[in-house]
Amino acid sequence: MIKLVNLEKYYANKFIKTFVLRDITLDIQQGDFLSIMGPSGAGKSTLLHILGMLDDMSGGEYYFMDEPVHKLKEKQRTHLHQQNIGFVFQQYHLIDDLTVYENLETPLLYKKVKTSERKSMVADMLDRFNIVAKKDLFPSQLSGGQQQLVAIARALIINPKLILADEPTGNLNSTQGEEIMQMLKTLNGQGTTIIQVTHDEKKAAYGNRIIHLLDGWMNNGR
Amino acid sequence: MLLNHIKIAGRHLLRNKTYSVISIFGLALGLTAVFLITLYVHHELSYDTYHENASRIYRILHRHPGQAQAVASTPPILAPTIKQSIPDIEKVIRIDKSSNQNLYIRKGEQLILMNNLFYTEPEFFEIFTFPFIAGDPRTALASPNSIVISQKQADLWFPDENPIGKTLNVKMGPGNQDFQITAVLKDIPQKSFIRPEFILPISHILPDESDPYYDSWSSNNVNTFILTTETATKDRVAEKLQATVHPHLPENYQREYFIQAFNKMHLYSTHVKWGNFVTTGNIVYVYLFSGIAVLILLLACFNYINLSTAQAVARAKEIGVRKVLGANRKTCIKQMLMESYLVTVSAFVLSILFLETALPLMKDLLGWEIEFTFVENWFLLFIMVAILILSGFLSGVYSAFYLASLNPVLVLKDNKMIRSNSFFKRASITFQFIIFIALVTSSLVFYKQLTFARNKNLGYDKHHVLAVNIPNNRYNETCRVFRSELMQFPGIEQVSFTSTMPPAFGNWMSAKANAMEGLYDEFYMQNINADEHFQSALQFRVIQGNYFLPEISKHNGNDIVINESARQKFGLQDPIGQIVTIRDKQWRIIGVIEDLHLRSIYEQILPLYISMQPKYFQIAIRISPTDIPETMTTIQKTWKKVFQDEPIEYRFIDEEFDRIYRADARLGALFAGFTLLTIVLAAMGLFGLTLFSVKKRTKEIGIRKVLGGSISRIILMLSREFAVWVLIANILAWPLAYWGLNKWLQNFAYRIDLDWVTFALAGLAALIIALLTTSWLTVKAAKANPVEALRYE
Repeated sequence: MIKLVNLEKYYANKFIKTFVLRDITLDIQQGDFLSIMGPSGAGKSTLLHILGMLDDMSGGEYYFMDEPVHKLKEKQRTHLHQQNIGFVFQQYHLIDDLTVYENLETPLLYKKVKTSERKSMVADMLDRFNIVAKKDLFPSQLSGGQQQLVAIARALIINPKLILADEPTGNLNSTQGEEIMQMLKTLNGQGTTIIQVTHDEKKAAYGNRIIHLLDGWMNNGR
Repeated sequence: MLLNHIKIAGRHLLRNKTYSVISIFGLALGLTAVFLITLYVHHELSYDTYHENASRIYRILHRHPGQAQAVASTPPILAPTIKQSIPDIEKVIRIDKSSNQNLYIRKGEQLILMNNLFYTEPEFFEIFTFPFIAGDPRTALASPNSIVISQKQADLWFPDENPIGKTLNVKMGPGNQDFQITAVLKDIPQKSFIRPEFILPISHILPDESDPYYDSWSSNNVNTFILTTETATKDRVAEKLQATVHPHLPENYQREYFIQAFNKMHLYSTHVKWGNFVTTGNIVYVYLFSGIAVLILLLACFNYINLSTAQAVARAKEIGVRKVLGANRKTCIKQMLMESYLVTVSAFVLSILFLETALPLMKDLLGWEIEFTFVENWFLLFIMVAILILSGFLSGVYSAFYLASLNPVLVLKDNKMIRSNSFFKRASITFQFIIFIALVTSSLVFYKQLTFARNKNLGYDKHHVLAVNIPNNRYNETCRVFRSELMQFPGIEQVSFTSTMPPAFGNWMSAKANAMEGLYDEFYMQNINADEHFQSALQFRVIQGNYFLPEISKHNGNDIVINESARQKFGLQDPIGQIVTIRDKQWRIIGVIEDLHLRSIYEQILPLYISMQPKYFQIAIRISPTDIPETMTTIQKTWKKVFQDEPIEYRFIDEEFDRIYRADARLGALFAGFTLLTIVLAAMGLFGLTLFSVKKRTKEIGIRKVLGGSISRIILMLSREFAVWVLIANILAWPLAYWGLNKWLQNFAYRIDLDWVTFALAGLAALIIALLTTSWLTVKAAKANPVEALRYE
């Protein structure tokens, strides 16, 4: 599903290139649950952002479902991302001014889904995550776990083939964290590919593959 | 999607009330001012546009060769002369608006003044578009006793009858005449140079062929208008006009004849000193206020921009999230623009409410005669919506592009990406303060100059002096009876007869002082005729010799009194008894008086001589300041007794002077209004900037406090930032204001000096207002608990 060949990322600053990612070659199959581990500053998040097409790469090749992402224009990339990728963040990143319902609706608006279809998709998702009662609340009225639940629901609503999660349980207590991880495991069981970044060995163990990054190098990817 | 954007924008505005109120209110104030100016400019530009032939109508003017001031009054002989010899002229007519003599309609015992009375020829109705309600344009003025009246007058005099064929009894000079109504004009649009309510055939005022003035080229008393043929060009007509007229002009009476396009008459006639029918507008003010409108719009938009980028920290995260959820740059820009349009539209609605309040106020304060309803004025509405769209775009585009271009990864990671674009902010604040300081300075200078104009010593006492018209312009024994009757009352201090009363524009004689070998070149003088009481009536000072003595027999008709300017022009140290030649006639100088401002202080005092020829048209009455109402009753009673049914026409000359300065007083008031507005807008802008800079530096303030910075030092640090920019604004604004004001003051022949105190005062005002606006926020930020500030990240 995803193929990285000699991927590089650096920041050029007059004379010095500061490398964040070096020579990453990686294959991810449909249905994988990959955990990326490593200390702070190892390049985990950057890798995730590049995979999510939010950030540019400096060199190498990136194929997403056989499309050469490194050659695509911004518009095509946005399209690819819009159709296939859902994001989950440590800080949830819900939009404060929108209710739960509207937060879920937003990605569908950008995908230009019709109103009637949109309503039923949001209703389904509320139902599936058991948050129908909370649909008119604003993010600030929810607990952290609930917010992350909404964030995952929002990521799932476009029916993505890939979910990218950046320390999804980092701001949650252990019980809430377990629930979220269980949720991701279930989704993976239903066929969604998941890539998560984590510090936590226990959380990493939910995945079926683990890679480690250190100073931009990947040391045990297969 | 659109609905979603509006919803979010609305919620965002509700959530940030301070920000929203300042944005909307500021923008609404700005838009109101801009709309007011738009109304004014539109009003000024739409004069006389309803005439179908407007582009082919011209007015004939003339002037002394090489002089700027022009005269619209032309000799009656001009029209027949050019009609015969210039084929480019299709029609030519003479018009006069009764200015020398008022006519009255008799209604029983009452005499009712005929306002806006015009004399003209039948072809008037073919040149101008004045539709008739009743009557035939071709025959309406055919008979000498026919009269055309406006619908308003028809309704007034004959409310329930057909006015055609009815007669109006008019007091004309000493006698009466019946006029038969032949036609009724549809009411004339207000924005019209010519707005007749009564029209009479011009034959009543033209000299007939036996009159020595019949073919005089130096007696100017009618306006001449021409309609050119379709193929004629302005230059060709002007050239032929000059060529045709030139041979007719007397040797010692050279004039340059030229034409002025009818549709320029309202705005481009400030140089026309004689013969305008109405007070005209001024194109300079149209430009000036258009410029101010653009500036105010920019100020208001800058405020919104500053305030909305101050909110950027909060918005950036949202934009980042939206991009992650699949939004592209375009959708983000659309969303932000939508938001600024929501603000602009709210401001627009509010500004319409303001406008409804402000418009009657403007009418009262400034005498604006602007009517405005949206329903009728789709064009204005269109312009206002265009301004709305433009200002929404101006306001939104900067933050839209700025926010939409942010990299979502960096925005979501931390807030480092939100740099302040400090150059833009500082530039906009500096710009606002430049405008602020320039306007404050202008307002101060306006005020000072107008006070100066009002209080300037005119050389005589303008208070408690009445100018009364001599009935039918005939000075005779009855007038002298009136004087002697009046002089018996204690409230009357002096009564004098004169040709001219200040402030006079109309009937100045200009005379040429003949050159005297080796002493002086020929020069133009003004002349008034006045009797021996004129000096004590006006109370001016005699410098040398004396004024005409009460023992009138001691003078012969050749004695004159000159003013100081004339003495200097003649180059005479001791002029008393000297003989000078004016208009080829010998005169003996018996006295020199101080220079008098007989006209407004816009105008330089010219050399003047006062002679005693009894061509008097005015009565000057000085009354004592005690119990003026009683004195006025006395004057009216005496008038009635002596002149019987002649109506009394009088005015106080100090009020007349005030009237002259009223246009400037209005300009001053308007400027003061806009200045106040800029102060409010600039204060709002600064508030927005401080909001932003305090927010941005919360952490820095916290750290400084932890490290031991005192509150006062922190306030100083925050205030210094903008104080520098206010100072820079001062330095840039001063030369700008100096240049503009100097230009404006050139309008006045007598004016105040620009002093640095005024400029410094305006700068100080700016600084104080800046300090007041920001101190609330800076003090709050400096006093905040540093722990809170550091936890914020």
